[in-house]
Amino acid sequence: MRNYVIIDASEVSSVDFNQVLETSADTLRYNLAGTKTFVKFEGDTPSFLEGKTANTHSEMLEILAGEEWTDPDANP
Amino acid sequence: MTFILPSFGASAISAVPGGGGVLPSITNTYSVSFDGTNVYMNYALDADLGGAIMPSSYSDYDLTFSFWVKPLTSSDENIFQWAGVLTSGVPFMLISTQNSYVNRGFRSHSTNPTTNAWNHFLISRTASDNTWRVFLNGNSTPIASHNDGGTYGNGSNNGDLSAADKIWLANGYGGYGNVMIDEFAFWNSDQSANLTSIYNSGVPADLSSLTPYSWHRMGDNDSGTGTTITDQGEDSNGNPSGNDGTLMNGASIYSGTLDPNPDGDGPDFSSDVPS
Repeated sequence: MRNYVIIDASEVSSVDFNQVLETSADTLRYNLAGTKTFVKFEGDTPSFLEGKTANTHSEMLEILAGEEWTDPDANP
Repeated sequence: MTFILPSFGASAISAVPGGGGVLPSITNTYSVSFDGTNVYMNYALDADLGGAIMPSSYSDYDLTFSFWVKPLTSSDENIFQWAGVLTSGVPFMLISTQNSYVNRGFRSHSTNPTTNAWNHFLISRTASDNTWRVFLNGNSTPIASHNDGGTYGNGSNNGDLSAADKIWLANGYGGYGNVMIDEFAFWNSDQSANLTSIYNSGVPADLSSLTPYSWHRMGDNDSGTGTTITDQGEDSNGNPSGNDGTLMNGASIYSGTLDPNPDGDGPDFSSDVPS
């Protein structure tokens, strides 16, 4: 099962990308304000994410659908 | 009775009235799953006028995309964009499960694909009438169409059309798609006459004889592992196009589930592909 953890943008430098499924810092998705992002992992919690809230896939989709992460008027 | 034809050229298939030629069957075991959060796949596809693969005049712009998609929700899910950057606000194309945006034309689909089932899309632009058409599940009546007048206007508000463009699967302006995708193919020619052959009664066929410029089999030909999706297409000289795709942020080749004893004779591998 995948676990999704929201972190502050300032914490990206502490992410070990060998322990999460994200490819690199350059491919992260940020909230619209650019202040938060998230990473996901399977299995044991990476040490740098311990103590943080882990969301399920469905919980994360619900969060991302909110206006903090998705522009409701987003059509090209 | 169904005949399996040997691999003739594209012209042989097109010559069959109604596009009813039968393409060879192909083994299809893998697809790729995108979870709708931040995962995607991209590969280079030069859209520039007069570039490597497209004509110098936009009015001569023929193209076709064919792919299979399994929407994992009933919401509008992004399937792919053709654009310069991730989540572009000015894509040349943006196709989602319920809408199509092509060369500044936004159209809602008259019929949506079935959720949690495999659906086939064929999207073509026909130069002779300057019209984009979106076909669903082999039906010859488009679910969307757009006559762009044979013109393309450069500019930041008119969509991207450059040599640096890429295909971004499961991504588009507004977000990421919660979908599975299989057998993603592109031609710099109009293949709408071969709609019936390509749809193949709902079972992906071997597209080799139609010589797609790019063809990503989404795990097949890559042993179902890794983060590279090898391009099976070829250029006009018969050389591999080499536009390999890269799976990003945990997009995964779906390797199926192991049913421990489905038919009483031991473990069976169950893949999830159009069939």
